[in-house]
Amino acid sequence: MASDADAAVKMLLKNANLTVSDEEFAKFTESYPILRSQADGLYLPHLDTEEPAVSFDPTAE
Amino acid sequence: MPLDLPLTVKDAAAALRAGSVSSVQLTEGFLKRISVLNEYLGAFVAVTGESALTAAEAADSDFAAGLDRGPLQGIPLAVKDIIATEDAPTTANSRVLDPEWGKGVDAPVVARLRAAGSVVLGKSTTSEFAIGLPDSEKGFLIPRNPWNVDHTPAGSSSGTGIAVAAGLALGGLGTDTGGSVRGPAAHNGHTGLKVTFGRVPKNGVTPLGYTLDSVGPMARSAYDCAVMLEVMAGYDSGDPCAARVPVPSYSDLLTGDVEGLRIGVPMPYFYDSPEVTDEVRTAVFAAVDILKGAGADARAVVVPYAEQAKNANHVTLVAEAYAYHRNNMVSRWTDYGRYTRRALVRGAFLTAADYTQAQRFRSFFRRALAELFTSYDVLITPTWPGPAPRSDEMTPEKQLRSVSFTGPWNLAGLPAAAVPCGFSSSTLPLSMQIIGKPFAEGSVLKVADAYQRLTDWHLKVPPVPIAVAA
Repeated sequence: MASDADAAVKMLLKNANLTVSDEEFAKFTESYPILRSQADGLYLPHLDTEEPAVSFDPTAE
Repeated sequence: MPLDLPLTVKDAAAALRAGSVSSVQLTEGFLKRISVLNEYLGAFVAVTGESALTAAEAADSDFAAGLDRGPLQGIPLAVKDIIATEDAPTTANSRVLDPEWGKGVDAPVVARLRAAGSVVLGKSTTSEFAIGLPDSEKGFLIPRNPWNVDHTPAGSSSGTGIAVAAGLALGGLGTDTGGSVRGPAAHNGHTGLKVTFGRVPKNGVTPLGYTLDSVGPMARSAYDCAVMLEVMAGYDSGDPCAARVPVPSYSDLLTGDVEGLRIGVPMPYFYDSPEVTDEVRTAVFAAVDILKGAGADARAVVVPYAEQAKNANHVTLVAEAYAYHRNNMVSRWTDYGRYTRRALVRGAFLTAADYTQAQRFRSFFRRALAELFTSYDVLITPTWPGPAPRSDEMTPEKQLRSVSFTGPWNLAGLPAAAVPCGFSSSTLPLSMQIIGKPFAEGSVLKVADAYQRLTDWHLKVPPVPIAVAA
């Protein structure tokens, strides 16, 4: 699994155009699965009909 | 160290009106303390002594002329260094922020405090851009907890938290996106109020999470926070998120009466997490018992999906922060502090769908809390699961894994106060959190004030500044 996180973080950093140290890369691969798990945990079935809490006022100046 | 300076805004305001002290004397006293302790405690990035004394002289002149602008007239305050002030640069404790940012202007919230006659002592230390942890390699003082300098004062409003606790200011401004007013208030042993989203204008403040950020008062007591908020709150056209909601006289609501108050005590997550220490649990339960003894009713409740709410707040925060910092992160990566980089980069690791899903969760969570608040006036939780940890044990990765009892209320936009409720066996402050309905700052402060009329935890003074000054 560690290699999966390595590959994902490497790709994400490349897409973000960020060059980081080896130490930082190690920290990112350590925390990435936790972050990913926390974000994945928000896709709850009972939210399927939920609208996002964002609003846009087309009349605002 | 002149220990006879007043501890609270309320006492200072009374002394000013009684003529037993002038604003100039107060300001000189606090400036003296800052000059002695700031290198040690790292509370201020910049001290604006000259303009502070000018403001103090003006306050004294107004008193002499019979002009009273209210309880903040002549009161020395600290302003977090992500908030623009006309008399000092805003650095956000960062090498990255453009030195021209906010130059020469007051943020509306600062302008309001000045118009009320208060005295701005300087810019107080913040975690870089209100995120991350102190980095000793970036040239800023390291903020230290005055109760034990090896322990964190928490962030990101570290400097205002330290200043209030150590007697370097009578109050000040913090900002709160995930707990940055309440954490420092909790770890430094005083009161701090995270306001309803939109209650206080946030233009003139460097953003962290656009839909989460709030500017809140930090001071020893709930009363002091109330008189500050009366001045700070209200609509401003420069902030698209500012609410057009009338501002009550918060201090008039502080009657001390909690008879019949309905308190919800959300046991799952907030009390049964393994990270919650026995000392915290015992102290907060004891605080609830005191309120019950004063006539309140307390019942166990469930805040649904509290852990996911903490996570949704974090996803929202880092995504919005990354949008603000993306270009500078590419071009100036190593100019950011190392811990700031490790927190901000998470925004690059999330998808657009993740952010949207966090907002869908937010809709659900807000509605679930509204339902809960039909049966309860306030919720009470620990502010933090334990006392301040050692600074050298803190990392962004540990923070990511930890529970947060503050973030869920940022997600929902609700007001929440951190209130001292005891000390650990290692003599570090403990804190309870009182959460209210949207724009019910008055109810939150009323409960906090009622508790503080019956206890004196908020008036405890750390020994470290006294020892250093001696």
